[in-house]
Amino acid sequence: MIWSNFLPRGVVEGWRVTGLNVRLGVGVASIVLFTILWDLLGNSVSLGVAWPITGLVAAVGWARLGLSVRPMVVLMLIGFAFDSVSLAPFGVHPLVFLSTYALLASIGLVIGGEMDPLTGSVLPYLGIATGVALLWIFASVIVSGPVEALPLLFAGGMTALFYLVFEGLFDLDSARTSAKGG
Amino acid sequence: MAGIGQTGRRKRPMRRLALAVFIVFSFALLIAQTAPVISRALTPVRAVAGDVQTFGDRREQTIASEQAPGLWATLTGQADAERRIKQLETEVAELSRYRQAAIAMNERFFAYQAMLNAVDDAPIAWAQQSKTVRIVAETNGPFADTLLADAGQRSGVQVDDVAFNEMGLVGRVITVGERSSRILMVTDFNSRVPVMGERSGVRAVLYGARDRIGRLSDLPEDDGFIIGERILTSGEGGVFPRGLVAGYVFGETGDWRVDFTMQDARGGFVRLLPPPKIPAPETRPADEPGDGDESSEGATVEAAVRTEVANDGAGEVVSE
Repeated sequence: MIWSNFLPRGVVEGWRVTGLNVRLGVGVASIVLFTILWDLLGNSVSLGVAWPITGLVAAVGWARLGLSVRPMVVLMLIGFAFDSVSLAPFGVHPLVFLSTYALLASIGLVIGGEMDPLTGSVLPYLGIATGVALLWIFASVIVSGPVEALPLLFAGGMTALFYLVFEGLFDLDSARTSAKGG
Repeated sequence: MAGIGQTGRRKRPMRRLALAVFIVFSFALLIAQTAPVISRALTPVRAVAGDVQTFGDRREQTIASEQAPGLWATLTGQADAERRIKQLETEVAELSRYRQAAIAMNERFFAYQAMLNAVDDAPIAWAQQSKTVRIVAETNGPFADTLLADAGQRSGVQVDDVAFNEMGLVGRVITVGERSSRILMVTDFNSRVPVMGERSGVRAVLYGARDRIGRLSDLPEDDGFIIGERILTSGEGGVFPRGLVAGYVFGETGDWRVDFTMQDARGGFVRLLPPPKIPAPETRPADEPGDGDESSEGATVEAAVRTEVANDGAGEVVSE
């Protein structure tokens, strides 16, 4: 979390000791809050900026802990919400989120111990790129033709930016958070 | 990301199983929606999502409308100028609507001239039944090109209501919630609108594409549009009324395209009209199919078309 230095010490300390459920709740609340804010802002000042796929950020962030049932369930629910809002057939976003989550968690399991810092910092963004690519593939298959890639690329860029800023909110591992200092 | 997945190694097979179950469930649900029954069953969920989306925006709208001009704007006279501009913009938008109506009526007038004894009071009825709604969100992602309006069942909006703005046809309502409705735009890949050239009279089916340029299909092989002519709804099929402007045609034979006029509108509002009601055919044939009295009494598009075909064999062929 790049802005953790600006937060009061109490908040940072509190975040260190919070458990899985609270961290999941904070992640979901962040997604909901950010979506509402983005929607209000976008409609009030006519922002022509792409939406970040916040669910993908959750999938990437939560995969750090490895496979866990609760994040999977929450990702499914978030995916269905995304399907509902974006008018995608139900199941597309859950599939994309879960696939990204599974992919990153599996890579973590295989090379987790020996992962160098560079790979560790690049991997989430590769995960986001994979998610966006999956979304494009699903959309193209569903409409029987290649859909425009540029809006999705912009959305992917915004998602990466969102992850860069709010990465810490989607870290489920309190032990690692304290080791990193916030 | 270093140390990814180092925790939670216990119960891994169970978690893998859960992951597989979730993925299979999502995939099965996705496949199941190819069945129209299941797809329709999930429509209410989307309607609720639309209601939730419009809730926050309605508050925003109230706050924006109550904003007073700032001190600087008042002192410099900028506020008066802005008020005047807004007033004129509203007036232009209103006049544009009349322009659309005039175009539609003009086209209809000539059609009626060709069809003797045809009577249709639809324009007046439509104008009385129409309602203006505000667009609160636009979904133009890879899956659909739709608008979310802030009026639903409570305001009398119904599925299949036709939406148009001051510049032309926008689309039709596909989902209605309590307080919101979703409009499938003519730019969407799944949209199909029966249209005709204003001058050439060539009939075709207009559909959207991902580049927001319309495509025309199903037109007669040896007919072509006149480049730059207006594309109007033909009213065939009974979903869209006849004579609404959809756009301007360009391109060439075999690859006709339409520049949608509705994209030039900036108001953020659309008007919704109930679709033209075409009564089902009678169970027994009418006594006098070509009789003028029938068309004047019935006053329906279908009756007018039947009159045209019956009275003038050389008239344009209208497929229903």
